[in-house]
Amino acid sequence: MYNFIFDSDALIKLVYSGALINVCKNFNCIITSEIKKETVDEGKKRFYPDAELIEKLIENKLLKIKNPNKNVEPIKNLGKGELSILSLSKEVKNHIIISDDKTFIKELEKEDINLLVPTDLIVLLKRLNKINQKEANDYLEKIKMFIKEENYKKIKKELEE
Amino acid sequence: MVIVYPLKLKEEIMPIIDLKSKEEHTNKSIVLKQLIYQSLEDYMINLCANGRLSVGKVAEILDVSIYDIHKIANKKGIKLTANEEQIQKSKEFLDKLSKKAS
Repeated sequence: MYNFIFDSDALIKLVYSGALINVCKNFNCIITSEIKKETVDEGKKRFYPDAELIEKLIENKLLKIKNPNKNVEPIKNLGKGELSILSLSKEVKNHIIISDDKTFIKELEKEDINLLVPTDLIVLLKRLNKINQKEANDYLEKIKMFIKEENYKKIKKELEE
Repeated sequence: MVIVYPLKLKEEIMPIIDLKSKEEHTNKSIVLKQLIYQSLEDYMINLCANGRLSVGKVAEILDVSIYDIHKIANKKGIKLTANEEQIQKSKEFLDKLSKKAS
């Protein structure tokens, strides 16, 4: 089974779409303490309700926290959360990084790390019949505010096929 | 860490800074700092949109949350997302993954 490792950006987009709970129920999902800090602790401090939803998934062990034993050398255009994910990816087998961050993905590509953008997880859930058409459309409509129009149209078409 | 940096400003802008500070019941240094931060925010969101800084790094420098970064970008009508080529790569991997899983 693959291990999906999320950066904060992807996690925030998926929780907002409503899809995160289904993703966590159906796949092995991992974050680091640094990602928890960025999405749960910082979010709760500023009263973002989605931060509590992520916290509940962690409490229910649907979203696991794993930290790297060794950290990669700092990369000046990446944040602490992204660096922790990069470090963890070197220690977790069968990993796929979930990210929608252009800069972070460039670094992942340099190291030939498998990745998926968050919207593709909605497509994956639908293809595996883990969600129905209505759920897929609902998630897509909510995540629309974060993605480009042309990408939205492509995914919508794909979900309807 | 905070640093002190000398700055030369045109004399003519000072009455505007003064006006803003009076209207907002604050001092002139804070007004100048707010203006610098405002344009820094714009500049950094654009760097992020162009793939030169990650969302996490921008949040760290501006001392805001990643939720805030998306809120700011959304207000400016900027989508902080992967580029076409990256989305295509993800799609190709998704197709492989779906075949294996089904």
